[in-house]
Amino acid sequence: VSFTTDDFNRADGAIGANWTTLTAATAFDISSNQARGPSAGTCASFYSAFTPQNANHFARATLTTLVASASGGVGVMTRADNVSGGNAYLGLGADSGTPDLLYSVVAGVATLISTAAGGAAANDVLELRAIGTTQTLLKNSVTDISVTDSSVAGVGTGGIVAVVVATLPKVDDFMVSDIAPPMLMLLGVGN
Amino acid sequence: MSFYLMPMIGTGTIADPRRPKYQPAGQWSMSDFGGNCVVWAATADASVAAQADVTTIPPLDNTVAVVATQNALEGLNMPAQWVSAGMTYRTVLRVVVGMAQLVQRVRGLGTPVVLAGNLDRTVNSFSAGVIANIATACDQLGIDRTNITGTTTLREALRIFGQQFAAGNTIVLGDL
Repeated sequence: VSFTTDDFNRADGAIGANWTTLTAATAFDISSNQARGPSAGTCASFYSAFTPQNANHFARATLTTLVASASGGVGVMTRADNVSGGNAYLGLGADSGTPDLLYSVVAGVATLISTAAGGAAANDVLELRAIGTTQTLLKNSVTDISVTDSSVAGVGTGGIVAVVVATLPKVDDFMVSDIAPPMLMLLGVGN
Repeated sequence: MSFYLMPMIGTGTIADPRRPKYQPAGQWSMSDFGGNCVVWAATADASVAAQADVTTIPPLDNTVAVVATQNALEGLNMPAQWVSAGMTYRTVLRVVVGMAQLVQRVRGLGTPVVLAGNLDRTVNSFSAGVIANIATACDQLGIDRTNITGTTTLREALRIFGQQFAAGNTIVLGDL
């Protein structure tokens, strides 16, 4: 099992060479030792310096500044790559009162596959797990969304994302990690 | 939990994603199946059920109305000739969601999936790239494809896949 982390503690400016921008999105940058998204549009950066052993991995980050948007938010992504226009699962949290969202992106085509009421609060920890065909979004270690979806086929890696934002969202303390075989067995995924 | 069959809308951008044509109030999830989808919602939504192009699935443990079920599924380009008397809606839905996984994975491997007009084509009538992606999708998802040959129709290949998936040969579909 291997993993990597990024606490974003470095000078303001570009997010760094370990990160790659998802096709058709803009990049996060560094502001006050956190990763910051822009004030509009979609930004998505994945940690291309780390390649998980396989497609079973998770990405986790702390949402330090949220956005108020029923159709977007800030969060993490798994299986992210730029093959054929971009692929990933996106898990997003937004301010209280707006839904949390789970998207698939296949060859640049986004599909909204699940929503959960409730919304997020500042400093919530969002984690997206990709285990086989089960995609699970956890908020503060509690399952928020769990859905069966097979559309994103590649291994990719983890990343951070913000969608349709009206403020400058920020995330901190990013981690992407393989999921250990014992955990897969506990979850009943054996083949 | 309530289940619906319906078309999808959206251009596929983040601002206008592919999504169910009608989104139930509260928590919902869906499995896309070509241009249509299966939606399950935490609570019933009468406004969704009232739409002319939405099929509301009866209680899962009821025995299926065979002809009506076949017509509803085939009308959305979801193979249904295998549905037979005595099955429950739960059984049918598990297979349908299983078939959707194959469609999703084939699309994820780079083959745009057009089901309308193609369900009765045999596997060997598709291009070599499409055939390879169907095989790869089965292998990646842990499905035995020895009974899927060149003369197997696409609808039969989907049924074979869906029934294995529903039987838990690859993963367990939770409470469904």
